[in-house]
Amino acid sequence: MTAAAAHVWRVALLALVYAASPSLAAAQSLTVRAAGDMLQVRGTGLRLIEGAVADHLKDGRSVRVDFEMTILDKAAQGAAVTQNRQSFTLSFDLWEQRYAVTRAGSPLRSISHLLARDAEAWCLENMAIPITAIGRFARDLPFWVRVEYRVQDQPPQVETESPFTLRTLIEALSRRRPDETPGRTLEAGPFRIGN
Amino acid sequence: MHSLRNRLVAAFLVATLLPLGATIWITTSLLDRSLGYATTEELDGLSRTLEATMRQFYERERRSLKQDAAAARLTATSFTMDEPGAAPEAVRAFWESGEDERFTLSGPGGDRLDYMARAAGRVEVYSRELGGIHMQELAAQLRQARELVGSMAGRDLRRGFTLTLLLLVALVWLVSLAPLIFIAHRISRPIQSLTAGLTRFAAGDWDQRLAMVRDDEVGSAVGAFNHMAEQLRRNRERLVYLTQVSSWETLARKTAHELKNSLTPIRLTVEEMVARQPQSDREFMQQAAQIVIGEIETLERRVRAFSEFASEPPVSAEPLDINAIVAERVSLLKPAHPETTYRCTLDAQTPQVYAGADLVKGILINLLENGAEAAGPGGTVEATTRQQGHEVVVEIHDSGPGLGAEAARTLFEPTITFKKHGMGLGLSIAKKHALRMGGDITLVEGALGGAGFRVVLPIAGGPGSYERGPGSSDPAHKLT
Repeated sequence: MTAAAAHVWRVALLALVYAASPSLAAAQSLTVRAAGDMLQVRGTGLRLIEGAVADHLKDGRSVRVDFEMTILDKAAQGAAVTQNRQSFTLSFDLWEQRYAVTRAGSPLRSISHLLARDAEAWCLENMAIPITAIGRFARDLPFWVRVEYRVQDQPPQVETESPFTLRTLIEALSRRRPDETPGRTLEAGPFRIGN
Repeated sequence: MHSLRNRLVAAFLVATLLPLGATIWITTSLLDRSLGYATTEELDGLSRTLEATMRQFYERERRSLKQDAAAARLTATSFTMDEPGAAPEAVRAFWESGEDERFTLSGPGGDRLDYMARAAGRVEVYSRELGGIHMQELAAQLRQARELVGSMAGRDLRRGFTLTLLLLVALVWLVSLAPLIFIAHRISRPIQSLTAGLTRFAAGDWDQRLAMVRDDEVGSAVGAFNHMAEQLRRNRERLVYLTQVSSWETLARKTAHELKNSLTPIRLTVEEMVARQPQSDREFMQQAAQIVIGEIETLERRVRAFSEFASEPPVSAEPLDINAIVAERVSLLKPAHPETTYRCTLDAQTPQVYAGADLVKGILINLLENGAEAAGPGGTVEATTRQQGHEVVVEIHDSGPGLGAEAARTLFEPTITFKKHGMGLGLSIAKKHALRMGGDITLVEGALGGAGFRVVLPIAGGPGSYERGPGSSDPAHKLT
């Protein structure tokens, strides 16, 4: 094997490792910014409305997504400084070909006529964390941001009069094992508010 | 050891599993065929086609509405956004979105299309009917169709139906298996105990009896076993007794013979000695001879009793009215024991017995005499008769002092007593005669406080007498 060929192999191997690591792939996909007294996160690599999720939405079904944003004191296994959890419900307008998002909790907020990436971004925007919550990391220390989401795609439930009917039994025994719940973890950092 | 129960259960398994398997196979085959008619894919295709078509329609309506608005062919409703709160929700949302234009559906079921355009400080809304097409309603129906398709795609109905069928069949089968095991256990348990009883009985437990628990074939078998065991026990006891009696008879016969052989020459010699004695000394000699001859006569009576005990008179069995014989024997004895009260409780329904009249009379006389002697003056002797199964029971009770344990144990064994009356052979002879007729004599608890004897005799025409056959005159030989 020549030196050039060995170099090509090394590069290919590194590229493979890089591609196989979601956190590495997403390392540059999150950015943070201070919006007033809130810390907002933006991401370009969220890729939430894709594949099965997009198919479900285009079939007219609503999809619930649970987000969890964590501020870490260091990368990977760092300790959580603060956390924010939010649930969003996505839906799709068949005729306008646009998405709508509703944030659960109080106050209830919703928006419609969004493109897929805009809907994802809106979810992240609504995960904002008060800057005061991150304490001394607000100005002095670097911090890392980890965003996790998990799609809770509930198959349509068949309404039955009683849980102990023949129909319920058939439903339970005929159900295929659901696909692994789509989810993703993005982590990026270090950030400073001043950045 | 539950082989019978296990076999019954195995029979159930074999008898049910094969048709059950066939039923399941047929059902699942039919299920496959019926699922083949499912129209899920057609529904999927139809919904997609409809969606695409309606989307084209919607696009066209959008374009048309926008063109008409631009050409001022439509009148706009204008909302000034100085106070957004006064505008409808959809207009307000549009205003806040920052978009230049937006289309929304309105009206019942979405049968109107609204076109909102942003202008300086206001929103112009143009609206048009969609020709009676309810787009939102249609979207909901399409969603339902897609949900149904998705639901079907997320299910393996064949597996679901098959597993449900198997589960229910297994459940029903198990539910039916449980009572079967119970029933099999109920059937096999008495047979098991019958087998165990037979085994113990065969091992020598002659008192082995089983509880009658059911009134069916098994219960009849248990009853037959108990009856057989009782008959065998009694016959065995009779056999043992008769064997003993036979030995005693041989001994008595030889003793009587030897004594008789000795007593005759002694008696003749004594008489000769007296005859040859001179007249002067004869008085003393005659007195002495009288004493010797008296003792010889006593011995001769015992020898005769021995001979009688050893003898086996023929049994002329015939149907007898036992009540009449008992009454007649009591009447016969009353004058001999005037101080004794005789009481007869004779069941009029008592059937005839099949026995020898002389032997029966001898037995009754013996027992009634013994009773009167035991009761003494002022005492009572009671005779009762009744039917018990295939036998007739005659009981003689007295109000005497009763019998001690040792006396009761050896009551029917032949003995030699030197009391004034009786030789000690009466009861053993009576028992022997009863046994020879297919009956028995046993000691029972006295009803009058004294002794009680039970004489059992076979019924005329009953199973016992029939076995001996009408021509047989000695049923005891049949027993031995």
